[in-house]
Amino acid sequence: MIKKIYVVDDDEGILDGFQVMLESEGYHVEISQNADMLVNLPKNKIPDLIILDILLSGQDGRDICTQLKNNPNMKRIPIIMVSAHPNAEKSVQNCGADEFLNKPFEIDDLLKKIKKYNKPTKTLV
Amino acid sequence: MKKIVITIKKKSQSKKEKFNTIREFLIKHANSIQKLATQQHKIFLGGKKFRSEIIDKYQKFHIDIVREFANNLNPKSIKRGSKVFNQIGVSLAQEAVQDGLTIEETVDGTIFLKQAVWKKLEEDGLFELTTKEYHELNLVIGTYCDIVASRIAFTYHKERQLIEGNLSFLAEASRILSSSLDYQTTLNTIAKLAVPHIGDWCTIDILKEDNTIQQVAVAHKDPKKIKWAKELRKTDPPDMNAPTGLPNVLRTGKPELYPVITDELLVKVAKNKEHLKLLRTIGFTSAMIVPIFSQKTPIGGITFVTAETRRHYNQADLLMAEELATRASVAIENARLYKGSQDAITVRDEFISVASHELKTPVTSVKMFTQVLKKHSEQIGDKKAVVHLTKMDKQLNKLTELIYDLLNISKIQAGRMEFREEIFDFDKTVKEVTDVLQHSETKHTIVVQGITKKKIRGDEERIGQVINNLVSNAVKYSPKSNKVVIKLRSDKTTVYVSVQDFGIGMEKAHLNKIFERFYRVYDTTDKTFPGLGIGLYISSEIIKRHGGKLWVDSDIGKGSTFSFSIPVNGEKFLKKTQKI
Repeated sequence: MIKKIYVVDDDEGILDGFQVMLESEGYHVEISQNADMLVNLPKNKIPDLIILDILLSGQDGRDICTQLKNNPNMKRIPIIMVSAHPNAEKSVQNCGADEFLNKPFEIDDLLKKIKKYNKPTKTLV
Repeated sequence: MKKIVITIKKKSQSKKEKFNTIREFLIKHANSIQKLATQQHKIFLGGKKFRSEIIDKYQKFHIDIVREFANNLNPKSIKRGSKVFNQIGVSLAQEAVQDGLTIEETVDGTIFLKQAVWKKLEEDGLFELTTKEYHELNLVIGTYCDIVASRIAFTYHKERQLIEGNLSFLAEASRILSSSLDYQTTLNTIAKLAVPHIGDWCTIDILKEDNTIQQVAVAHKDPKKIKWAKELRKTDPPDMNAPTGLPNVLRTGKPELYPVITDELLVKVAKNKEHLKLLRTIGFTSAMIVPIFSQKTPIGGITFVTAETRRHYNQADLLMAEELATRASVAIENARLYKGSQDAITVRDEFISVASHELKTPVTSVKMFTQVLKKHSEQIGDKKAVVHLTKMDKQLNKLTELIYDLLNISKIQAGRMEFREEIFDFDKTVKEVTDVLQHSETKHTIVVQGITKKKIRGDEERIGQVINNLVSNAVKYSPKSNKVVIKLRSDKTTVYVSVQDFGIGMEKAHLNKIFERFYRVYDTTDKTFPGLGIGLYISSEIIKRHGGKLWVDSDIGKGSTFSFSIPVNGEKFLKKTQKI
C-alpha cells in the first residue's frame, strides 16, 4: 500500500503542486529541493514511493536513481522519474527507474502510475 | 624632307671621328628615327593601328634602342652592347605579352627600326664611309637587332607559358577555394598547388586575434624542408614590428615585391649571425608577399619565394599573386560568415531548448493546481468552476503543444529531430489519437471510416502527432461545421490517411505554400486563425522522414482534405533515420 511519497524537484512551484495534489489524494508527502536527504534517509523514514526529477540543481536525478537502486534498504522502493526534457525518457532506461512521466502531465496519469504499486487486493486510503 | 646640316670634314676624318659623328647624329635624331620606323611598321601592317598608349610605350623602348645603338657603335663595345640589348629584349617581350601584342608585332618593331636608322643616315647624306667601315657599322647594328629579336622571341614564349600557367593556376585555385568552407584545408591545397609553378616555397599566414601570426599552410617540394620551416616558425616567430616583410604587409595592406634578393637584403633582415647563415643557406632568389583582406582589413598574407629555380618575380607575377589573394580573401570571408551563422544557429537552438524546458516548469505547476482545483470543484459540486477549470486545463495543453512545436522546429532545422523505430498497429494509433481529441472536443464529431489492417515500421508518437495536427487543424478551420471525417485505406505497401473538414477551405495559391515553415493563410474576408504556422511544416517533415507524402486538396467555402501516405515496411524511414 502506497502511503508515503517523497518528491524531489529543484523547482519550488512544482514541489508545491505535487504536495497539494498528492495530499488532496490522501498521501503523506515529503518534499525536498535536493536529493541528499533522500540518499541518507534513516530506515524508519523510508517512503513507499519516490518521485524524482532528472535535472536537479547540481545533481543528476538519474545518478541518484542508480544510487538508490544499489542501496539494499531502498532498492525495492518504486521510483517515478519526471522531466520536462523531451528526450529524457530514453535516458532513464539505464538508471533503474520504474516509471517515467513527461512534464507537464495529467494528474490522472500520475495517479495511475502510483496505484500500479499498490498491492492488488487493497484499495487506496 | 627637311635636310639636317651636319658639318663634318669628310676626307680628313678618321674612322673613330666618323663613328663619333654618327653616334651624335643618332642620339640627336633618335625621335625622328623612331617615328620613321613606326610609319614603316604601320604601312607594313596595312593600316592597322595600335592603341595610342601602346604606341607611346613602345616609342620609349625604340628610342632607347636607337640611343643604345649610338652608345655601342664601336665594335670593341659589342660585349657591353649585347648585354644591354639582351635586357631590352627581355623587357620588351614581357611588356608585349602583358599588352597582348603578337610576337611578330613585337619583333617587327625592332627590324623596322634598323631600316629606319639606315634610311635616316642615307637621306641625310652622311656617308663617307669606306666599304670596310660600312660593313663594320652594319655588322654592329645588325648584331644588336638580332640580339633584341632573338631575346624577344625566347622571352615572349617563356612569358606566355607563365601567363597561361598563371591563368590555369588561378582557375584551379578558385575551384579549390570554392569547393569547401573549411578554409584551413583549402589554403593548404592552394599552397601545394603553387609549388613549383609559382615558387619554390609558398606559405600562407593568418593574423590571429591576439595579433600573432599563425602559419596555416606551408608548401615546398621537399617534405623535410616543410617540417624544417614549420619548426623554424615555432622557434623563431616573425617580429611583428619588423619594418619589412609579412608584418609590414599586414600593417599596411600593401604587397611587397623583391625581384632580386641580394645579400645586403639578407644582412638587413637577419636577426643575428645564426639567422643570417640560415638565410644564406636557403639561397633566396626572389620573393613576393601579398595581403589577404577581410572587409578591407589585412588579416593574412601569402608569401611566395624562389630559391633553387632561380626565377625572378616581376610586376606581372605580383598581379597574379594579388589576384590569388583576393580570391582567397573571398573564400575566407565566406567561411567565416558561414561559421558565424552556424554558431548563431547553435546558440539559438540551445536557447530554444533551455527556454522550452524552463517554460514547461511553471506550466507543470499551474497544471497541477488547476487539476487539483477541478477535482475539488467536482467533489463539492461546483459545476461552473469545473467548466472554467476544464477550459483552463485545455489552454494549458495548448501552451504545452506550442512549447513542443518550438522545440521541434529548432530540431528539424538543425537536422536533429530524433525518431524512434518501432512496429505499431496503425489503426490502433489512429483510434487512440482520435479518442483523446474527441474527449476534449465538444462541437465536432470525429468520424473514422475504413481500416488499414497494417502494422507500420516507424515512430508511433510522431505519426500520432501528424494525425493530431491534421485533425486539430480540421476542427480549427471549420468553425461552422460539426464533423471531421478521417478515411483510412491501404494496399500491399502503403497506408493512406485523409482528414476532411467542411470548413472555410483555401485558395489554390496557398496550397503549395502551406507546408512551408511559418506560412500562414491570412484571410481578408474572414477572420484570421491563431497559430505559429509550423504545425504543417513539422507534419510534412515527419512524413518525409518516413518516406511518405503529405498533400492537400481544397475548395473555398467547401473545406479541405489533407492526406498522407507512408510505406508500411519503413525501409526509407530507416535509411533516413540513420543519417540524423
